[in-house]
Amino acid sequence: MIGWLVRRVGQAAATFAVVAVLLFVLMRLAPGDPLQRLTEERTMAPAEVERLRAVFGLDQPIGTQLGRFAAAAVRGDFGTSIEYRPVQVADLVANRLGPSLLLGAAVLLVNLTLGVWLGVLQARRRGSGIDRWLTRLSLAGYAMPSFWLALVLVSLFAIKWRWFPAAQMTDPLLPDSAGALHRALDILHHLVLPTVTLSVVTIAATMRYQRTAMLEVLRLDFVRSARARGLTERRVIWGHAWRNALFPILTLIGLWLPIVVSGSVFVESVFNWPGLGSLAYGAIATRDYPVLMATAMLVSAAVLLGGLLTDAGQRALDPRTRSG
Amino acid sequence: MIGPLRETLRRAWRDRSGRFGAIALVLLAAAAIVAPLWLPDPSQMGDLLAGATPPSAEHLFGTDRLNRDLLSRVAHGARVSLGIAGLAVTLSLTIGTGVGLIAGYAGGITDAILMRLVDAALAIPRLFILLLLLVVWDRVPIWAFVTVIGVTGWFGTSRLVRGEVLRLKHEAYVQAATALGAAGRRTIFRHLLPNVLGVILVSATLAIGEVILLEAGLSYLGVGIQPPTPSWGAMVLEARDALSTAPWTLLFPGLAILLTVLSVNLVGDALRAAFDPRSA
Amino acid sequence: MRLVQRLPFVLLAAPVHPAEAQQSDQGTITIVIGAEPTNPVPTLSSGKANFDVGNILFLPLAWLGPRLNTADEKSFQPALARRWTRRDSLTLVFDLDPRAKWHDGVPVTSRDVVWSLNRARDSAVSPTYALLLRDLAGVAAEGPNRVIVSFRQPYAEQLFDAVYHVAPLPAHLLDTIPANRLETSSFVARPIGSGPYRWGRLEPGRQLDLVAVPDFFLGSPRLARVTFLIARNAEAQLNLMLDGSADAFEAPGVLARQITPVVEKPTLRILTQPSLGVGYLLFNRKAYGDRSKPHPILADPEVRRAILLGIDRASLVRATFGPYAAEAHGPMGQASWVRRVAPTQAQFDPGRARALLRERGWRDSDGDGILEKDGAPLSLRLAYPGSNAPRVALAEPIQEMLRQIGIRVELVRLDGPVWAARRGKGEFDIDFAQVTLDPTPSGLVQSWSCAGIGGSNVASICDPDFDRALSRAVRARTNVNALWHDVIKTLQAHASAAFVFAPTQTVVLHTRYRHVEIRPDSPWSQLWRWSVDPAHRLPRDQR
Repeated sequence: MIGWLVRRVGQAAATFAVVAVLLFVLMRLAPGDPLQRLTEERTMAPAEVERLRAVFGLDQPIGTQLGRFAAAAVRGDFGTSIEYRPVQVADLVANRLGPSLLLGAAVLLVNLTLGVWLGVLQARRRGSGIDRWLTRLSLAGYAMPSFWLALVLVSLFAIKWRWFPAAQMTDPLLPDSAGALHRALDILHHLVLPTVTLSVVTIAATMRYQRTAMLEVLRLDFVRSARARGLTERRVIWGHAWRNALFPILTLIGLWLPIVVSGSVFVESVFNWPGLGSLAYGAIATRDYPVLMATAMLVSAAVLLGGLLTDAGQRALDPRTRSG
Repeated sequence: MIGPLRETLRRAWRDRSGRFGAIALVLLAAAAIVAPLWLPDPSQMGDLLAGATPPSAEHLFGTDRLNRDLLSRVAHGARVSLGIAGLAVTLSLTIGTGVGLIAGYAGGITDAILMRLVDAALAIPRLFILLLLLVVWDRVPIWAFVTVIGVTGWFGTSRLVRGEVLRLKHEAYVQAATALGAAGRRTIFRHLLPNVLGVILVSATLAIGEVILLEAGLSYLGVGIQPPTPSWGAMVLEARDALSTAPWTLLFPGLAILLTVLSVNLVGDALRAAFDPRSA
Repeated sequence: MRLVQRLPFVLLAAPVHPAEAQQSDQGTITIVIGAEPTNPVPTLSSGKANFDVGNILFLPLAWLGPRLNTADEKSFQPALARRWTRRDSLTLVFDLDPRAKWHDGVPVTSRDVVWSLNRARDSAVSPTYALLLRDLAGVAAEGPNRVIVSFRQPYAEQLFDAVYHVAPLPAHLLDTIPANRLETSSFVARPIGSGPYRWGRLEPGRQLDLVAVPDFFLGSPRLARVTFLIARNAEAQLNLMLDGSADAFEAPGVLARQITPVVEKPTLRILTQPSLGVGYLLFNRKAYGDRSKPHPILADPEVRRAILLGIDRASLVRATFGPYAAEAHGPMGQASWVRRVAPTQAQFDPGRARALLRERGWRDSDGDGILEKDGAPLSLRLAYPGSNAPRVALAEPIQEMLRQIGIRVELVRLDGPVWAARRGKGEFDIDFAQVTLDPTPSGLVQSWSCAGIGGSNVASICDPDFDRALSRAVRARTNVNALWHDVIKTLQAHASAAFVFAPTQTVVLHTRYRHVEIRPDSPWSQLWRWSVDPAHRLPRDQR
């Protein structure tokens, strides 16, 4: 197992390096010059523009730029944002990471509880009406554009019935004297609609995965033998089979890690959620390379890590592969 | 090749959801084709002062803020969405299949390099790459839009195809054909391609759904289809200001997207179950 | 000159005594603006954001009175100049207020005024302002607190010209910097002004904080801090008001459908008055991005007229804005007196539009609904900024209306600063402009006459008969109405632009503010008079 893990981690690291190079090349090749945009915005003397170009290293050949970037990145220095200078990229990303993680964790929680439970339900009642309808409903959720669902929820629950706020993460009019609990509840209140939106759109995948996993396990010999020993159906499911269907949890966490980290550009746009998605979107428009590199690499790292977790989870908990 | 394929399709047809999806898709496609013949011009503005009016006998879906018939706009939007999805997915599948076949058949270093690149590309969020490439244009031309979407969507397909090729490489009849000295290329096309077709087909239907959602999303963000061509995503964007005053302008375009993607996914699901009954 | 009729809605506040300012009724205000004020120094920059912020940081010699009467010398209010007297029909004498100081403590002197005005009059350095100040003959200092301004000829708006266009800048900080390097100097990044608020902190792309100057000589401001929140997107601007993040927003034109959620909020109120703004489609006379060649399509006045006739402006404006805008007939806002004497623009007549195009040789030879001539289609690009809600909302219906007469319009929606830069370089076919005009119509010379080419006249318009009519009207002392009627009529005859909407100035404001005074031309210049009702103070007022 350890040997496999080491190899797998090495693989992921190598892929990550390729990702970094691909991103870098992609961004430099895509036409559009950040400095040109800056000069269109403010009157700048040509000397000033050249100075900025040198400061950001944009006048160097692409290989040098890549080298400089890699050396700095390893130290944790992702440079200065071009658009928001002199703010450091690391600070910008750190500020936005919290809200993204919060939303992502909430969505993950819903998937791990409701999604898993529904998937198990489907597996138990395989082929029945419930199974078929749950599949159809969850696929309907999957087919919804997230920005549309977000707007529908806002128009009903925020505008028409005023149960939840329409945007933001916190209430800007909250008095300074509000306690920690009050603030936490306020954030929770704002979290509901974005979480529901993202959950509806993603739960299908969780349910499908859990259902398949559960079905696999139910087919295994030792479950059949447990049944032969006369255990009730309930004991079979929640006793033996369940424990072995646990590995999807780890797999699912791996599956959702990217979303947990990156959030969704659309949901963040509709709800004005201050996360990484909207940061990346803004940075694309302004060609703010340092910010783009940092966010893209962060999300890619999450994807690769997620894949790693998924594979490791499957391998560690699946009795068949453990010995093989 | 035709025999087993037809059998699989028949099996897929028996699934009720799949049948529903297929029929819905056919109807949608028909509506998209028929729309310009029967429905009013989607860009034709009515009485501007009336603005957005609720559904009525004259306008089944109501009208949008410029008093344009919403049913017609939604139907014309179907042409755009299905057309773009079709073209982009064809492009993706072609590239993906090609790369997958090469990687799977060649093996060795070629395979390793290609798959490393594919893994890396899969790790980068697709929306990110799309936005980066599209933001460059003031107005994105349709050909550019289709190409960019197509070129960023082949990675998953290539992996699937490669997987199939690897699996089939070890099948007896392929080894026999190779041993008999049949030329490499002929082997691929005659034996591998038909079997890979199943994977490609399932991949295609899911890809179409994904592209429709992507196109809508990009149009919502303003980097997609440009006016005056109607686009479901752009219609949702416009409806943002009218959530309380004209909710139908939000409802119908969204439902159209939902229905189309759902139908495509149901068909894809049925096909996947038909090709591989164990996964049902 | 005729009086401007409409009054601003709330009364003037009396000057605040310094003693009163010690009271605990401190407050703050957070204002939404649509662009980053990267250069808020008057005469060094353009753009509404820069202008609005600059008017808080820098005091003029005198303020135009609330009635915006540019010809009534008695209605102006003292600012840097304590009083002014007339030595003769060609000379004005300004006595500066000795209490006036720059934010770095140095007193404002006549040297500052003389240097600033002379720099602005230098056409090599500042062509736009030189044009506006062309009737000034000389500016000289007489002692540290007295400035003599002399004019080339007697006319009613002498005081207006002397004080309105140029706010004095600190000569002691700037006169050593070469004139053409001022825009990029470090002064611009941290301006030192003379106004009631000084530069606090700029968070690039996010917000600008201005801090009150407690010993401001005209009265200590009761709002301790002014924060500008930058929101480039039309939807985001109103949202900041709706969710309580901001207290004030001057909407560039309110769309009827946007106003409902605002009306329903009990903490917000809507203040309206006629504004000096007007939105219009400007036709480029020269080729896109190349001012050496005439525009292949738009240089033809009949084509321009056809475009004008092809747009149903009356319905469009009413449907889009509701009561919040009027149809525009020329480069005049609702608050401009010229509006009442000007002729109306040609009304919607698509049949005539098509006939005109046919006469000029445009035919639909391939049946696609779009006209062609000599193989080239009648295709034009319409450029506008995405941050401005009215223009975003109007672009698509205008595109459709023109398609009905056979013109293909491509909508080019640009980021605000990019749009501004492109139009400056002439990179447009049709530019959807929205401007807040000077209170006096003589400012038309900047954008519509031959003399303005190279400056604000980005479309390279040059019609000698219009220029003649304009200078006749500007010089006139009698028969003024008829002359200005002629000016607008000539402008309309050339179809230099299709004037679309004249918005009502609409300010969305939190209900807790008192002593509110908002000028149509410069909404925040009187902020120092405002206060917050202590009973309704918000947490952020107390910081």
